[in-house]
Amino acid sequence: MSFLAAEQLSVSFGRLTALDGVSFDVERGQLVAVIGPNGAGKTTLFNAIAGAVRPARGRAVLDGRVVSGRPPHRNALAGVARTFQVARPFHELTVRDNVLVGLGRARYYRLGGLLRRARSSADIERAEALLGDVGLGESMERLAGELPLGHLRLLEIARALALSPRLLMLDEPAAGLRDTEEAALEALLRRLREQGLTMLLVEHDVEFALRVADRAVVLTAGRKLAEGAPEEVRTNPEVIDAYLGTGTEAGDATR
Amino acid sequence: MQDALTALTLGSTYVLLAVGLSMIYGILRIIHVAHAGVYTIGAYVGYLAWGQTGSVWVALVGGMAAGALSGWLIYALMYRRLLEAPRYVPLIASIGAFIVIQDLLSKPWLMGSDRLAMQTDPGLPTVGVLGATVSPEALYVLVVTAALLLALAVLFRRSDIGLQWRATASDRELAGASGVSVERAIASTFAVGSALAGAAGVTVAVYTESVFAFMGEVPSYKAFVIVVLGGLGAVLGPVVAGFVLAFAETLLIANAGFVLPRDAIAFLILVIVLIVRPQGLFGRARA
Amino acid sequence: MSQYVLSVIASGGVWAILTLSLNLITGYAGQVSLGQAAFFAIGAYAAAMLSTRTGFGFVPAVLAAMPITGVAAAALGLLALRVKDDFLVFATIGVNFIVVAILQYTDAFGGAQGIVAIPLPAIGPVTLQIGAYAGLVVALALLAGFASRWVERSWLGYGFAAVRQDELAARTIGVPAAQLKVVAFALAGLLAGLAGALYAYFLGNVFPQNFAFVISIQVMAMLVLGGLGTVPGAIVGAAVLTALPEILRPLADYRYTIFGLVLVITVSFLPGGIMGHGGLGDRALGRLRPRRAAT
Repeated sequence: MSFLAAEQLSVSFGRLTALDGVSFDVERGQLVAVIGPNGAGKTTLFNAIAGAVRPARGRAVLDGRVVSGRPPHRNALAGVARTFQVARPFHELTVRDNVLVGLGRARYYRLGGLLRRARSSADIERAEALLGDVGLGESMERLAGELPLGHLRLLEIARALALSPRLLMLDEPAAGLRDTEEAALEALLRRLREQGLTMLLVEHDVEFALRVADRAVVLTAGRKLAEGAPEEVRTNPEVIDAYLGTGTEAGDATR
Repeated sequence: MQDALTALTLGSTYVLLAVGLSMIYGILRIIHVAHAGVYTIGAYVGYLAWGQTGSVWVALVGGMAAGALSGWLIYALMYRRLLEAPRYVPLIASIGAFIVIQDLLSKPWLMGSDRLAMQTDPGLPTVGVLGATVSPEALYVLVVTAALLLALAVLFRRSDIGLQWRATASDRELAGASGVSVERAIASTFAVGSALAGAAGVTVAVYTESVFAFMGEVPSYKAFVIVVLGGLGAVLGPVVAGFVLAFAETLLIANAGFVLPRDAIAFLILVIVLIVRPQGLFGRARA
Repeated sequence: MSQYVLSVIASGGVWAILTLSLNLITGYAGQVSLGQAAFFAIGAYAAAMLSTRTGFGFVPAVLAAMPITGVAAAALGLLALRVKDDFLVFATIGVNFIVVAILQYTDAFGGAQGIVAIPLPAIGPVTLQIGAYAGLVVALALLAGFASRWVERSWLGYGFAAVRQDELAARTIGVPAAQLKVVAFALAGLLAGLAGALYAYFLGNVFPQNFAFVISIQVMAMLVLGGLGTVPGAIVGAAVLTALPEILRPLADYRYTIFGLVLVITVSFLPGGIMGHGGLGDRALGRLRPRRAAT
């Protein structure tokens, strides 16, 4: 049985069908890229899996447990972590405290946990370790509201990792990044893969996505168009037609 | 029927005040408590103008002008600097301004602390409608309200400035980027919305035949109830909500011998509506 | 110290506790509430009724008033889950008016005549005179302050900070935003109930108009003035705005104008309040510290 299974996921907003019967599987430890043109439903897919949006039909199952249709905070506890397309840091908190919030986890759910002091040395160590892992070791004291975009993306990831997730969903982490920042992000993703973390990656920069991914799923207009190894997807005529284009058009699909 | 007319007249005064408030909230997202202070200023200047000329129409113009000016000043001197501050900052400032306005108006060298009688002769006929009578004062209120609402509707839909208002209220950044002078849109919204408040003050003064320094106290809360019921920022909403509230109040008090005071009715309706429909009657549901 | 000064201190202490309660809801959890007077009223009336109708002593009455108010506040917290932001502000105003109206028009609560002849506060056989009472109130205020600081540094406080700044992001990393908001209201209810009960014994009687909407504004003003989101701010704000009308007695005629101006000016130039970011505390230290995180 696959680790993460999307089964006929369908999401509608009023009369607009954002996802229509999308199904695919992800094996444990794989990095699967979800690509497709704007409006294809990629972020909606994440929202459906994370529980932020309730599917009209179908479901998402993580390691035998249904995660779609459950509240996001419960899914976070169950190990589903996601980042946002537009970074959402806690502006008034330091970088370290941003990650610290994510370390609370089960403690937010019991009175005893809630009343415990939050900055134990163990928690601080873990937060700092995570920040070091993503490359923000130098910025721990800074207020999140002051970080440049590239660092905000890394902070989002560090904060998501604080959940010790079993699934990490990244929504366009490379968008707007400079070359050096993108290289750092790519290196981080590879490291996380090596550690065995299962990841879903939505990325508009198709080259980037296909470079780091084990498999790719192509969405268009809410439906799955293709699925397979990066090379298969890259050379799939239907995908090229609908999305990648040929020659000069391929340039539009990248950054 | 008489009750219905009373409700209609009452509702008219509510609506004039609430529409201006809704416009201002819609474009600035500030809880402009001081709006009721503008209302009182308008009523007072209207009173003075009537005192000088004996004309309720001059009073109206005077009240509207005073309203527009004071409202604009409140924006220019106070809110403008606070646009980027956290939400509670302009709220507290507005409350402070309202307190100052009321207190100063109650000083003997302005309105004093007593009611000032204002028995006007609007020069309008007494009209009979379906067995009920509309006094000249009530007719004045209805005529003024209808005329101003009509003018406002035309302004909103057909004029340049109306377009700028709608654009700025909908998306300030986008409007600015599209060439709208956001500053002018906001300032003019304040001026017009406050002029309406001044008009509300004058019509209430004529109808109740008096003005007093704290006359804005209750309308300030009620106007907000109406704005919220109408769906914050909407313009048609407060019109409907204002009349609905006036009718509810009049009928409940007249017939059911309602136990709670009139003001509590407004808030009871508000809380119930918000529980059932958290975005107000006409608001759009938020994600 | 004169009776007068001790009275002012006692009432200042009550206001401090009430302001700390608002700080939990608005300063920490970020839910703007302009209806704190409603909880103040419930706590006061609970203590008043328990002491005059059912013979509760001072300590039991105060202790009982707290959870009664806490439950009522939690109910409002549930409303806050449904109604957001500015709509919530108006809903809380509405609740304030409705509660006062109910107290005013219900005979069981004494109606417009309120509840009078509340017994003197006594611990055991010892009746507390104004000096001892003031001391007790101040001690409780400090205790409430410590409790708030504890919350600020706990996981609850971090959860609040997250919910306040970005509720969606908070949920995404596992913070149960809805439950925490209700907890914020419930805890605030406990403190407001304490303040109300102490107030009832302080005055010796309670009337509905003691808890009108203007009181909610006063509490909010105290919190914003002192420094929203900070414990020292809540206490300082309460102290300053309690003392100010007394100090301004000579200027009695213009008290309200000055009060209003104080609000406008402080909030315009010191949006963080006296003790908050950019405030006098920071300036006295000669530098602008970074904004206080949930430390």
